[in-house]
Amino acid sequence: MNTNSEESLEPTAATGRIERADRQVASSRRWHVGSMIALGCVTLAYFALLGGLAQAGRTSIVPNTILVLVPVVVVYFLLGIRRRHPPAAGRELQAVERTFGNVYIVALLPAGILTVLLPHPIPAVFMGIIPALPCFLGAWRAAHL
Amino acid sequence: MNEEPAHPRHELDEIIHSPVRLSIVAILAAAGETDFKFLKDTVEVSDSLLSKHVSTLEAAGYVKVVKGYTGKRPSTWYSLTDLGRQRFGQYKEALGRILGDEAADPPAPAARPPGG
Repeated sequence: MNTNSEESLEPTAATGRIERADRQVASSRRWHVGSMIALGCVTLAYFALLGGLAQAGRTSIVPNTILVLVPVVVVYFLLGIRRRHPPAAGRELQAVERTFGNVYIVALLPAGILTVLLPHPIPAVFMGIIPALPCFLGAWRAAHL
Repeated sequence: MNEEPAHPRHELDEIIHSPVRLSIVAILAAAGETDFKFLKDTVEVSDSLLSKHVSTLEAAGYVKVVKGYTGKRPSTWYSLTDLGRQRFGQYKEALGRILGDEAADPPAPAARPPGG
């Protein structure tokens, strides 16, 4: 940890510090963007799996309804971890993440209901687009802040 | 009498031209509004040193400090003011000019030792 605050600063060192700061912020932003894209992709895959399971008759309506709620539990768990460990990014980025996270949770409900009513992988993938879309939009927004 | 044009190094803002303060300003310029912990972890300084330098930047009107809450947790947020952003832009331009000058006029090679 740096304790010498008034050391001399050459122009090349100053430029290096600016570039390093840019890289660190970009890396933090990439992490947020990547995690939102990953959540969107996992959601699509999860809904396809749910539809497949339902079509194969492995689950009936009640367990299927419970399975649809699994992403909600996972997202709340992740948000809980996030609250204990302050995010490594700007406030705007956090606000985007929080807003799209909440939209994701709300969007899971209609998608879940429709998946339970239409137990087939193809409609299930389309239902998965409903909650996945805020993830992809959030990633796009975070990348363009 | 002809006046020599001032070297661009004289245009470097003394408030920004310190290792810790430069890192703070560069991070705020890139990340926008940022919390204390992220700033501290990224600049890699102690709490007290970060506070000291942020106070200097705040007193100069370059940084705005906002205290609030994230959920129930108290948080302090830092951002560049318009003045801070403007001065940082000027600082980078001056740095670019210095480095451009150095590239155009490389230092003379060291004298060869006698008999070498």
